[in-house]
Amino acid sequence: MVWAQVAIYLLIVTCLGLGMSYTGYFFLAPSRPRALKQEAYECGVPQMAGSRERFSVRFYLIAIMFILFDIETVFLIPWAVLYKQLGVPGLVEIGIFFAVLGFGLAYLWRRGGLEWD
Amino acid sequence: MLATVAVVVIAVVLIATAVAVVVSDNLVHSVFWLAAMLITTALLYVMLEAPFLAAIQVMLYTGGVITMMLFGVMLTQRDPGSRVPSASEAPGWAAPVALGLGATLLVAIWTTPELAALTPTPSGDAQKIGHMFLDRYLIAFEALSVLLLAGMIGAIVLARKGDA
Amino acid sequence: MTFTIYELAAMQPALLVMIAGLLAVGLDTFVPSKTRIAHAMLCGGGVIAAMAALGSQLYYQRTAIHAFGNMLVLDDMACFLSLAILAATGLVLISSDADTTRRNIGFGEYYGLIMIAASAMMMLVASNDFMTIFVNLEVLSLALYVLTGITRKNPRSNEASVKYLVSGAFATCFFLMGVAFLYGATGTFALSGIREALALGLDSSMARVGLGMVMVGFAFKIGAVPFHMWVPDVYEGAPTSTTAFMSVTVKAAGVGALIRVLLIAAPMRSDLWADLLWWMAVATMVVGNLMALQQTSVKRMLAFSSVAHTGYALVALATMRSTDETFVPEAAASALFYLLTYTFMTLGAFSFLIYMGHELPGKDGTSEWQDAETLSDLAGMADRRPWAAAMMGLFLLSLGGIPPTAGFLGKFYLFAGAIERGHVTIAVIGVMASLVSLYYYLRVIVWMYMKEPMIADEKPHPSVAVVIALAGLATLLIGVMPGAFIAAAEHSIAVLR
Repeated sequence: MVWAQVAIYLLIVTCLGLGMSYTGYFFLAPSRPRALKQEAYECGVPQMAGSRERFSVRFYLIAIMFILFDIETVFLIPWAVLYKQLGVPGLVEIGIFFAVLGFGLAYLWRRGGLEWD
Repeated sequence: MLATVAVVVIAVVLIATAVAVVVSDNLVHSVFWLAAMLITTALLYVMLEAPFLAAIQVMLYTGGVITMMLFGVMLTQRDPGSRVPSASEAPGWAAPVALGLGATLLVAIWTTPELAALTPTPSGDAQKIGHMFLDRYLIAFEALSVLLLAGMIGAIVLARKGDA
Repeated sequence: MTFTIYELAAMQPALLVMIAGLLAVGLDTFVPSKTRIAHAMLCGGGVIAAMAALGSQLYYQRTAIHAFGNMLVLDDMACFLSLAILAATGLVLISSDADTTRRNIGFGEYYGLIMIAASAMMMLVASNDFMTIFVNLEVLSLALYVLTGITRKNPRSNEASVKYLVSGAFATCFFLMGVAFLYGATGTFALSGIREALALGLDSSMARVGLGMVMVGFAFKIGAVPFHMWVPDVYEGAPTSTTAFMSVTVKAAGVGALIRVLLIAAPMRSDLWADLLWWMAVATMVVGNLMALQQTSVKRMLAFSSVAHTGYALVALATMRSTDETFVPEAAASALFYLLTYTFMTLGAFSFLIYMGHELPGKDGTSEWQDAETLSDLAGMADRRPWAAAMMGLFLLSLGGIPPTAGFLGKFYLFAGAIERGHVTIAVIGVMASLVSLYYYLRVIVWMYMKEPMIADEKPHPSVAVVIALAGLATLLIGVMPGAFIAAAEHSIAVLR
């Protein structure tokens, strides 16, 4: 059960990290909130607006595209680790997969999905 | 023994974070609890000797999906700092139904003597998954590219500039 | 994986449709001077080529092709349902001409998404493995979420799209959890493998719960009570051509896949799922019809009526186990035939609403298109457009189950079969429900023929007239000479082993 040990290790590390920061936050740090301290830090100048303003919808498009191509990359890895074994048929199979997504990328490009304005 | 303890601890953390996602009144906090939950799920995959899946879980879900959800929250939050009550407005029957469903699933797993899926070797690492993708489930794999393409077209159609 | 060209033929029809859809998107994107005609010819060509491929499979091949390690199987049922889906897709492509030009929707993407959804549905009805079923279910759902919200300036369309997405994601969770349970219990995703495992004694409570959850997932997708809540809002908010498309094709594909899952993976557990489906079918027929009674919007009324029609189709599945405990899989043929009749009459009725669209003055001097929706939109239009009104009357009578239309035969075949297998109660409930439904179908006819016109400024679109005529022809044709269609449906189920 080597992986169990890895998992336990990760668990301990996470708990340790969280535990240390939360111990500091709750028990050690003095808590004297003031209005000025509660504001978001903007290089020392007074805050203009809330830090959680609405984003432009364009960010969302970028985020979606990021995820889609992220998934695509993940699908590439299982093929990459055994491409010698799979040989030409494997190349053709992954080629079809990428042709469809390449088409998608070209479509995206032409439609202005990659441009900011 | 040690493994059992680890699984129990992971399970407790998983359930606690999942509950926190649902009961948190602040959407941003909910998303961060979700991130914690997804990372804990990755730990579960590590326990099941599927490190590749665990890596993907962190990469795609914590890296991608959580980012997108945060964007989504930022996009829609009109009133800064507004809180969304997490309690369901309506029905008192939602909780019994959910608990009943959960109980049914638990009983079903509990009363099943042997799980056939656990007898074959777990297909944990990237090579085995690669063989699955490019051999056994090739058609489903190629269809996934169409799924991603449909997602791209949908994103452009619904979110691009211009009218109509 | 090694496979023969012969296996590739199993997915050729779906592939042709998909390629045509991708080319339509590509044409819109990369070719500077493009016309609607080019898109229409491309997509129409894809549909016709796929139909030809299916026809040649039926005529020359005759035996089912099991392809790619039995992930897909092109058998008679897949051909039958694929042809119904293709017919609906072809008609929707023609009628979308109105929606895309009136609302200035990018037609390349619109047609492309419709073709992608259609090809996923064709793969879905041919899927013989939960892996392919799931992926194709998702592809078609994703395309439909986008199509529902494609009129971006219309808040109702947006709301419908979000509602569809959220409830669809919820349904997917159920489906996926069910598949995971089935995999956990049997160790395989293949439908035939699951049957073997169940027969070998892996018939645990986990497998049963898994099967139940898979059925819940399907019930969501086809809009059966109690998982129908999204149907009225989504069907009402979506552009009408999209509504027409999804109301007929998703039901055909979803019920088809459900039949395959039940008959191939779990025939020996019919004692469990038949009871579940019995209650679901009764609830769907009753709730769908009672809700439809209360609607003043014709589009919403048709949405509830489509819920009710899902219930009728489920009657066939629910009565597959006769009261003397014998299992009669052939009963599913009446569901297939019913889906075929439902395709044309519903498509025709929705197309009529597009046909009767009119222009509303918008806020800033522009005008906005509005399909006919309320009863008052249709008041007294029979004098102005006698042919269209007659056709709508035909579709409504067929939906209500009046001879000599297709709808009558579909219902007759369903309920007669149910009684033959001893299920008198559900047949009586079904007939009563159809009688109730006549009230709201006839009400539309009364408004069309007997009321004074309120608005008379509709601008009919010629291509929609073609769709209405073709759908009307099909409704009559199936009603007058159903023999070949019933034989095809029965044969489809008979070879499904």
